[in-house]
Amino acid sequence: MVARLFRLRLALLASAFRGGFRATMRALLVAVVAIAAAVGYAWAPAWLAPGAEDRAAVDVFLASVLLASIALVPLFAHLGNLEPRQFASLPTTPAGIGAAMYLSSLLTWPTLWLLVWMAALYVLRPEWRGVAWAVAVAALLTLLLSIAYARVSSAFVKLVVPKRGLSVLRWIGALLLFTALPVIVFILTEGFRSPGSRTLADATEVLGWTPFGAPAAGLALALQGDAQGALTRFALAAGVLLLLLVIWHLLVARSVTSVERPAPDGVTRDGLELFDRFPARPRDVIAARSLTYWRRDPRYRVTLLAIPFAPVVMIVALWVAGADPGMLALLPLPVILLLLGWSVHNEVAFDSTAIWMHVASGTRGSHDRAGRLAPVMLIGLPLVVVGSSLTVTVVGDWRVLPAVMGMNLSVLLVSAGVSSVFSALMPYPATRPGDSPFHQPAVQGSGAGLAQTLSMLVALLFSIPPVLVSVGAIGDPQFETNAIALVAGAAWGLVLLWLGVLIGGKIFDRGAPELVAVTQTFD
Amino acid sequence: MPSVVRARERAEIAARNPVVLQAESLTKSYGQVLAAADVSFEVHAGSLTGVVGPNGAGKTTVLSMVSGLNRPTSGRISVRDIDVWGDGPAAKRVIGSLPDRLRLFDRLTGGQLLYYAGVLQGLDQKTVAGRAAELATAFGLESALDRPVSDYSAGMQKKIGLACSMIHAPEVLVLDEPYETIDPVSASNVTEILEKYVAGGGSVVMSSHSLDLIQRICDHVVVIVDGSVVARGTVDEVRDGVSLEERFKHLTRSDDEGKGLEWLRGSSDSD
Repeated sequence: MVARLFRLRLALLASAFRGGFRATMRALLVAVVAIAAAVGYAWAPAWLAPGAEDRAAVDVFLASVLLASIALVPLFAHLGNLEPRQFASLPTTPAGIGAAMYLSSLLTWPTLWLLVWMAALYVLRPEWRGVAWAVAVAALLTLLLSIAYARVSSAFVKLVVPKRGLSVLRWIGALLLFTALPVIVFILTEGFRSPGSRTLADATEVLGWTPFGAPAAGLALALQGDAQGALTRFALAAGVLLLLLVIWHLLVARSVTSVERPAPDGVTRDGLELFDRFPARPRDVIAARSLTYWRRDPRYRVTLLAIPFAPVVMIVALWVAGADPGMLALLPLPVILLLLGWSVHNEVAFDSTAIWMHVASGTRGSHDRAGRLAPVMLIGLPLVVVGSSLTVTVVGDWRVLPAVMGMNLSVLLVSAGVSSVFSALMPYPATRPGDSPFHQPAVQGSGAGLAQTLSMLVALLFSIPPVLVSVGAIGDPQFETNAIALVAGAAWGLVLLWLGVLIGGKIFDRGAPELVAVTQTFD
Repeated sequence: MPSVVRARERAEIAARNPVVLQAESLTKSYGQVLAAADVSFEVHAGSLTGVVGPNGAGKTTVLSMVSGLNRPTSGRISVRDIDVWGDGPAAKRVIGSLPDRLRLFDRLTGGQLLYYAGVLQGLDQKTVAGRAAELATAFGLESALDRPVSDYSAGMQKKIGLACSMIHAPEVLVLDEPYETIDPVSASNVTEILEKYVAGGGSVVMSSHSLDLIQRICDHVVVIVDGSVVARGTVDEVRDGVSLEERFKHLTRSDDEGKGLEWLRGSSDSD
């Protein structure tokens, strides 16, 4: 069984290089990039943290992050792993299948990547030569643990979560990633910025006691000469490994003796793409339709592509005028978010094709408003989190992250809320659906300029209070002022968004037939 | 039994049924232009009522006022005693509508569009899935459900629109030119579906400028000329012994049309 699975894994590895010259070249390129990434991941701490103690801390931190992602990623991303169930019909026991799958996982791309990373670490850390026994134990534990994590996580998901729930899981995973990213960036930048800082040391101290950081922490302690501490961490890791192997065995046994629950009758929504992933409620299907349109309609892509250019021009102008470059870094994200929220201020006319369907079915205005905001939120919210962490990295002071995040969040929510009102209140002729994005609308004039100016002014006006609060907090980077700026920004944004959807919805409810009439004359 | 016989029989039964849709003095003016003037008619349960009139008579205006898409300047329209312009959402649960010349969400696939229409009408997922499949089969669209509606032919778009208007099992269907652009085979299929629907107690108001078609499948008829109702009742009452077309010519006083034009002889003036 073990030999057979090893052969299968080998064939799977080789298959990456089949399929013609171009496919092979692409696979080779990916392999080169992956190897470079593995070496880079090993080399980065040595480059960024020259002090031996800091480097050891960064090493433990990065190793923990790696192991944690190996454990968590299979939960959220449906990877093309072999499943125990596929071998259920072979003449062998569940234990045989489990052992064979576990051992043969050595021959998978992620494990090979891990091996490259560990080899690079050994080469790049000459100080490790003195504690070869600890290096060997840590490496073995890391390898066995990572295989166990990956196997248990993916088997668990496949066994427990039904197919239809996978997309929800993926969303949760993406969200977790977005929230974890700034934290990771903080701790690291803090470590690099101020040698001997407590933040990183504290973080690694805690991580060393988790099953993710234990092997690396053991190695780091052995390096300091604390054999007792090292053995404790190795023991912890070994204990977790045993536990995982037991769980893996149970999962395999369960998996080969059960079948997937068939989908209930009538619930065959497959093939409706995004509509499969949203609940069957008016607001959610409108959101799904909006997203489908943003994906299929080139007009939206042009809008999205145009948005990043505005801040570039602004930055260059201000930089030439001699503004402080550190503060300039704060500027692009709110401008992009303002434009993103503002870009839907004429959504009803832009997306006029069948607004009659909403009206003829008596859809509530607030549902129409909220649903149409889905694409903006789906692009904007991750942008707020990731962009804010990038901003503070450039600004060079992570303590202002809450204030920066509060400011950006409020700008996005406020401009989206204002757009909600204006697209129902003052629709003006837009490029028709199906036309080229660069086509001029058939009907000109009539309020386009007014609606654009007014909606932009109102969005700017309502953005001023939270931006002022945040700017104050950025000038005075205390934890309290920053926390207040974040909470105030988020609350202000949420209230205005809610009001915008509500007021826009009321306007829609009252004037729906007129909206149909107006958008039809544009057609 | 041909549909015309069924229509005549249905007229007697439907006339005794309660009224489900009542339009009272509907008026719509666009500035100086009067698109509909004092239009009143009623539709009985189980009736297939046709609205006919010459081009530009105001059929679309009247039907869109009935389905809640075009606000009347004055007048009242009620469905099952619910005021369409007083309690829109409640009335629209009872009405299914197919406007003419308005675009569908045509970047969705047929399946997505049906699902969308059903959920907007408040149906749960299981019901929508079942009904969407049945409607697609009934209209012969099963194989097209995965294609974007914008790729459909005009007739198929009409059919998917019809299917969308029926998905929430409304009591009244308001259909503007449902037969336009549909091929003859599909048309008889649509007729079959509509007849089955009214036999089950539903009511249909549909416009068409094909008098032949209205005479053949409708039991009641409303004739609109220049925004006003000039005749209404069962088809037999309105046509009064002659064919609907003859009667219609008389009602619209269009006997004289086509005269003049003596210069249009098919031989070129330049000879």
